[in-house]
Amino acid sequence: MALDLFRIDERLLHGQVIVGWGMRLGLERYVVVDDALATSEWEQDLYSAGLPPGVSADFFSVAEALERLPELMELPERGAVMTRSTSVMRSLATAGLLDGRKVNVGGLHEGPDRRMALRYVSLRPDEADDLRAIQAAGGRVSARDLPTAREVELEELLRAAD
Amino acid sequence: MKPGRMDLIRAWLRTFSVQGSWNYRTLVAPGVAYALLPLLRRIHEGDPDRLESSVLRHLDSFNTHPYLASLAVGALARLEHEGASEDEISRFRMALRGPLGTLGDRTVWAEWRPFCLLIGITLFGLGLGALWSAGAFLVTYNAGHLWIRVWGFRCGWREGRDIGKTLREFPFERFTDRLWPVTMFLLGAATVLLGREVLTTSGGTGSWTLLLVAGLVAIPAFRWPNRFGRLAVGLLLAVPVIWIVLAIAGQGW
Repeated sequence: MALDLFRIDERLLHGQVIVGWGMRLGLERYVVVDDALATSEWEQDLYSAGLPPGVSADFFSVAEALERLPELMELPERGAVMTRSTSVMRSLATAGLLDGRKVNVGGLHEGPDRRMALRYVSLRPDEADDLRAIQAAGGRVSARDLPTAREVELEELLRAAD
Repeated sequence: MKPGRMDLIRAWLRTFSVQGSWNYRTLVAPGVAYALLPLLRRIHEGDPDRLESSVLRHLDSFNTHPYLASLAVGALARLEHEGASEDEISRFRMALRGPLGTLGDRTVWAEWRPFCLLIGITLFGLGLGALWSAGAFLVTYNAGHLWIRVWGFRCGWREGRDIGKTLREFPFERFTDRLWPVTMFLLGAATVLLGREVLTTSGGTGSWTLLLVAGLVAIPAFRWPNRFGRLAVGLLLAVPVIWIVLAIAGQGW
């Protein structure tokens, strides 16, 4: 799978992703990495319900993802890997899967202990650490909600959340 | 207690005002909580503390297409009725907002509304009066709109957390998908009919110039949509304005 998008977004598969990114990049497959979702059928049905015809979604636990992503990356389909937290993306990065890949921060909204960096990104200190770790593991982290929006590099993002 | 028929009707009627308190922080959540209230009052009857905590959690940020909000209200009420845990309800709300938004956008805004508008415009072009044409649009459009609200509320209330399976087969989407060729046909018909209207109203060479310019813009717009698409849409929107100005001025070019 030619993985064109690695995205951290609390809302996972929603309009901005499916229409904004998916249709633009021609994505055919989404891999959602989340331990809770991997075992919950009704949630998988809900998240998949908004996908356009011909587009599929897989739901992997972190362990499954580490095992199966390297082989999926060899397939010709175009796809995206989605996580709802920085920590899960960090696990993929420390396993060496994100070396040289772009990692997109797309939506982490206001919440307890979070400081707003951008309109669509608020970060806790541990989340900022996760992003640094992803960068250190070779990922190129930047924030951007839609492909048409300005790309904000990690340094600027962390400065804004300080 | 299980909500009765009257409670359900009351909640359904309240879904019409779901955007009344729309705001950037919690989006449609206050509207959804307001619609849920008659059901929550019945479900948590005699337990004011639980009622309060359940209303508060539904005030947390939530988004949906306004018509499909009825589905959210039905399904959330079912979860509350079944005594689902706070964590489960919050996960359900999180998972539900995505598909309700995209399905609504894709079927209602991108397919159903243009189809109904084109029906109105085509009827007008065929010589039906302006009021009748507008009326035809409103009646057709709202037939679909009300159908979604009724269907959504019933399915949501019936299926609760398992609504995802039904949504994957959203019948309204199958219907609008089949309408797509008809919409394309109507678009062509409406363009021809309106073009004829412009020619007969303004008369003279000016209107031919207008059509010629439109044609010259249309070709690059089709060939290079990214570069000329916006210009073409802009001119398309300008044509009726020019036409109205000409008609008011009452004296062609």
